[in-house]
Amino acid sequence: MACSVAIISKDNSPLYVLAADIEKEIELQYCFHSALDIVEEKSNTANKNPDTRDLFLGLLYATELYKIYGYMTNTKIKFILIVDSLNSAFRENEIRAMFRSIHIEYVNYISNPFIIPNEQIFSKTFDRNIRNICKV
Amino acid sequence: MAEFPSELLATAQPLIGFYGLDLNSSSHKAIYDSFNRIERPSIQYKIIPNNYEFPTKKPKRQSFEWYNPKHILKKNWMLKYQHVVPSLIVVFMELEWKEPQWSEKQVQCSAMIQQLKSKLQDRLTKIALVLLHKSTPVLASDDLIATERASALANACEINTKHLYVLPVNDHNLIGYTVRLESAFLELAQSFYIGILKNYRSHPTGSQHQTLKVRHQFKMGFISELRLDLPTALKHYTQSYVNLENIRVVDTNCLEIKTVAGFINYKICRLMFKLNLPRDSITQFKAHIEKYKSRTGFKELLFEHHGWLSSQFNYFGEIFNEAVKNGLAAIQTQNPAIYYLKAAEHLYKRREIFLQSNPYLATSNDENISPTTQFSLLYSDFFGVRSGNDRDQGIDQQIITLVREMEMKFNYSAVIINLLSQAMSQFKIYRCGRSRKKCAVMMADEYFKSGEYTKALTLYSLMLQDFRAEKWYSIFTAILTKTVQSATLSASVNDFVSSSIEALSPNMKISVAERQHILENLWKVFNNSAPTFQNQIAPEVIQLWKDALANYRTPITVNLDDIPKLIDCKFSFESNQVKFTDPIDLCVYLRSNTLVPVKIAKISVILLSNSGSKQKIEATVGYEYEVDSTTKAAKLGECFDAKNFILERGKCYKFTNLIKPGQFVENSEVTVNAVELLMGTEKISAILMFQKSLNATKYFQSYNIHSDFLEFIKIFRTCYIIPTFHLNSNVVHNQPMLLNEYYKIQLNLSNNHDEVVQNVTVKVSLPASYKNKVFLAKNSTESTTKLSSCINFTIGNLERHSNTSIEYFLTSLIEGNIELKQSLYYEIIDTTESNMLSPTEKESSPSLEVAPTTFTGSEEHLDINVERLENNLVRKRHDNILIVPCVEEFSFESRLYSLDRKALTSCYENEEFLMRLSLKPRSPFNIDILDAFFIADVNITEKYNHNQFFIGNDISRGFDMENILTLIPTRTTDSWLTKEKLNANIILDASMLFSKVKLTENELKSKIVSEVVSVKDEDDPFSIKKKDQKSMDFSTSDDEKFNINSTLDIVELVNDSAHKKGFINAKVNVVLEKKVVDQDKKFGLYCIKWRKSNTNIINESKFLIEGVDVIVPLLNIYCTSPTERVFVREIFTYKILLKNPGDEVLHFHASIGNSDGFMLSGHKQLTFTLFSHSNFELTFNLYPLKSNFQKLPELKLDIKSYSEEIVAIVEKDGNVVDSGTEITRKQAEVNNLLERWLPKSIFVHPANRKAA
Repeated sequence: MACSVAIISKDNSPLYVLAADIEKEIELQYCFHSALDIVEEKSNTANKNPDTRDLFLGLLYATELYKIYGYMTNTKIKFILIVDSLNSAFRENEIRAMFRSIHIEYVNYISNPFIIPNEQIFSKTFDRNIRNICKV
Repeated sequence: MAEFPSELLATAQPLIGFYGLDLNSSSHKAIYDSFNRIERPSIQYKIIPNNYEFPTKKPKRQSFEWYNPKHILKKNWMLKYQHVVPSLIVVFMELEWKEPQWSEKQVQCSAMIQQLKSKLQDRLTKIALVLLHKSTPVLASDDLIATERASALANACEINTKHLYVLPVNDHNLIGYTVRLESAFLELAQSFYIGILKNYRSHPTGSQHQTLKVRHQFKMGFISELRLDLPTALKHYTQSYVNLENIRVVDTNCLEIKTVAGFINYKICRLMFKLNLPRDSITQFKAHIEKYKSRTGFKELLFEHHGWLSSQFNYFGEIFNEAVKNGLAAIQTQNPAIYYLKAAEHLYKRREIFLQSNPYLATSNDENISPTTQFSLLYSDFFGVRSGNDRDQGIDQQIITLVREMEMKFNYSAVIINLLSQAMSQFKIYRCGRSRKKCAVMMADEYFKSGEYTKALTLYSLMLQDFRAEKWYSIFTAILTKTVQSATLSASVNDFVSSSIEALSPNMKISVAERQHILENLWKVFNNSAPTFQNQIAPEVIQLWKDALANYRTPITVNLDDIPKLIDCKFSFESNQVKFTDPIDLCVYLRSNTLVPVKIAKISVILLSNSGSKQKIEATVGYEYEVDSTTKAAKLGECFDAKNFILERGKCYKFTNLIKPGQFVENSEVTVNAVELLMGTEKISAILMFQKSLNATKYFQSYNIHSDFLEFIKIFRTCYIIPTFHLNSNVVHNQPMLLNEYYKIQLNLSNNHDEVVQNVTVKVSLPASYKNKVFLAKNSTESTTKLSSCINFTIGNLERHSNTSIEYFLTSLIEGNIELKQSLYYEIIDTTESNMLSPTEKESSPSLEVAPTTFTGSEEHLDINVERLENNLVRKRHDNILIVPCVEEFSFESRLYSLDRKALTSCYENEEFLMRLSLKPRSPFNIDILDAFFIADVNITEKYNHNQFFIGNDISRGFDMENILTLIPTRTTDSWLTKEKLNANIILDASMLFSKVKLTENELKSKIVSEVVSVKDEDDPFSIKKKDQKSMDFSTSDDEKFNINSTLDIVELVNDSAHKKGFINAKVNVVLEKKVVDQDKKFGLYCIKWRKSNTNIINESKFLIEGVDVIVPLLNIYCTSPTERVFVREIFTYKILLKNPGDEVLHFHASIGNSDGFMLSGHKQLTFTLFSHSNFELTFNLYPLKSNFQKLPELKLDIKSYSEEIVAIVEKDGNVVDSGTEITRKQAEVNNLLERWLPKSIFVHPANRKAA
């Protein structure tokens, strides 16, 4: 089972959402959206020092269907991953690695001088790369 | 169905029965109340009436070998121990120790207790006896009667004496007794429960007694709980739960197992929370859910399983919440809200599954079942068991049908909404705003499903704002669609229109067909008819819409700022400024981004000026606007009327608005506050309003290669209304200006407008940095010239199409570009429309006095200041800066020479010298020199002046002029007479005179006085003139002006006294001393009166002559040469007058040499002494021998210094050398003087013919 990814801007609007299951897109969006509560809470209470702060926020919460992980860059871009809670293939280390790859992809994308930051991402390449990472 | 029974939910508390208390009696009531107080320990008290029937005790089984009940928990068991069978019965009896009829009472009491005991059969229930005493008790041990009677009573009643208590009723400290009794009661109660527990433990259970094991452990848990022994209770419950797992689950017993498991789990979790083990509790619950999630039971009753799950979550949420209330700290990710939400979600599934399984199927064959059968089929004595009878397949089917039938009646929505609201309130506590919003949306969905569209609409529209702000468009679209639907069904016009318009936005993830449908519906509403929902509409909704539309009043304002991307709107003024009399041209660009065409009825623009007025202007004409992407050239399509037009997708339209002049006050800045698009019909319309999103610019746009041409439109966000200035002014003057010139500047003013301008005033002023250097004058007539740095001209009214001019003069003492400011003021009647409309608003508006915005673009209209006055007048001011270049008129040079034409470094008192002045005109104009004269210092006397060639000449550049004057200093520098010295001397002299000659003639006195006075007057020669010049009045207060006048007055002084120079000369330096230090040697002032050729303005230039030291010579030598001509062989006298100006006595040895040209008679050698201030004349008679230039015999003067020699000799002092050098120095000086003053030669004429 693949996982769903959302990239969320610093003002909490979605930049990119990849839903593993198209039929459940709304539900997943709600999940991403609700996860922001916890991301905010974690980023507020967590170590504020940017040098030592771990970008990976860990498991945000789990429902019986999903496990939701968060990751926040230093520029407050949030990555949220939703994986099937029954899928044991995704352990925390794998999740970390995925986040790191997504981060690299995002940095590559944002390095393009022609893109407009803080706007929705429509890049096909980016989409393809993210899909590869998430094995959708 | 899945609800937990109340006895399970209630906290298990030991039950104690009160027997013999009559609640109607106030004292008994007080006792009962004191036990039932709020802060009591967890004990349940119950009044047991006299006729109370205890349940019959079942016979005790001897052996459990063969007892194997099918089911687990009886429904009445928990109730029995919680409410029916007390652990202790307390018998209350009003019996005093000193009761007279003691024995009777004792019998009565024992009978009562016996009766109770018989009712209790052989239950282990304890009995305690409480005697209610009215009197305050004495200690029982002290009272023998009491002790005796107490034991007797206990015996009679067959109770332990320890179980006999006394409660004084009238004592105030009732609570204190109650508390003590309570602990005693609790002990008794617990011993009862221990007895029961022992009983249960004694039950032998084998491996076949699976259900029994569960039951026993549960019961033991429950009893332990009643005993208030929570750890033990938890242990038993856990064991019970484990035992339950061993029972095989099949469809038939699934419900029972799940029900019991739910009960036990509930108890376990609750106890864990109570024992402060929240993590264990949560883990237990999760494990429980995990375990039973897959135990679905009958497929037909799958919904029931979800109902069960839902209630599991719900109750867990409850106990979690309860624990939180008792002080547990929950966290964001682990709080009751999550469980409430899950409970709600399972209810959704329950409903979904039920609806999927074709609910109508159930109603087919249930008619033949009677209500009683239904009851017996559905209910049994055991929890989770439907039918008490042995079941077969048929019964199962029947049960399923019945259950489904009941399910149909279930009100999901109410339960779901309740759960969601609980979840929402919990999410709020734990700062999960977004989760809460999700709940709110779910709640709204639920309201929508249950047909409460208005409630749904309210919730949806609240949520819209939040999701709009965070730009989660997928979610937003979903909510918006629902909003439109609920607005449709609840006939809310406003919400329907605004949400429909928002739904047109391209951000919404809606298909084109849907969008079109929305648009159609929108227009249906605009056309006063009801919209359709899913292409159909219920008649009652139509009626609702009819009413709603009939009551509809104002247009709906939809703020497009919140709906980005629907329509792009830009505006721009044609230019950033416009004249007051010209119309303002405003363009509005619109581009629709939605897939469907949008019809707009009209466009209006709300303009706001910084003076506070507001105008609404409707656009008149529109064009299609295209920009060629390669050439970037804009192209306008055909012009159309800007009314009822259609905005097509992607096309850009340009609309022009012409704003008539006079709508806004001049000197204000106008900007667009809002653009409003009216959509709809006359009756029902919506205003789409842009405010903040106007001219929205995209960031980083410059990088975008596919740039949007709208971004390239040059935007003027504001338009400045240039005020009209009714006065035209031009300045006529002939540049450049010359130094010291009265430079005439003519200012022509004309009014070319059709209005009369009033109170025209011109104010000319100089910057402060020109103080004392540059001056202004109204006229140039010398005697009355008033100089200042600021002058005003009041012109008065200027009729329409008339002109006037003023003149003033500028004079400068410095070169360079001189800036002066001309301010023109006038007043005019205000004609601005807006001002007429709302004058009060004008007055109050603080922005009225806004500093004028300077627009660099228009030099012509620089700095027009508009000020509003009362009486509907406007005062306008216009400043302009005039720059006048000022150049030197002459270059003037003065040099001093001795009579033998050598440059003078110092001159000698009473010896003449020459002053040579050269004047080089620098002016580009021809200049007439009218007069040129030297005003000598009081210490200098002008002997001779050769200036006749100077005057009256028209000179131009390149003609240099010279003037040579012979001057003679009358004082040495040391005794230089200054104004102060003069004053001091005169006053001193006068006072001396007065003091000495007190009784002299009046004549003398008056003479002196007049002299003094006259000197005083002269001392300040301007004072008289000032008195003449009445116009000086305001300048006296101004230090600046005073100085100016005094400087220039020198000139006037000279002018006046051209014929009496000597007198004036004496005073010139007085003026100068205002600026120069006393010691400075000024020989005087050279003054030139001039004018530019062909003009009649007389100007004066004054140059200061720097002097040199004036010293006293050792000797004055005056050589008198013959005044007549000298002829050959005619004798003449050659006199040399030597004068000793000093205080020293001089000894000379004079010798005169020979000359070839003369015969000489007189003392050839002579020694003489010259006393201080005495003269000595050497006279020689010379007889010329030859004609032509002849060298005169040379006089030699040797200084002799007898006295000093004598002193030197007498005293034999070492000063000889000194005196010698002194003599040498003096000798050199004398030689020098001789060299200078004695003529070397003389021209001898040939012999006179006559004489010959």
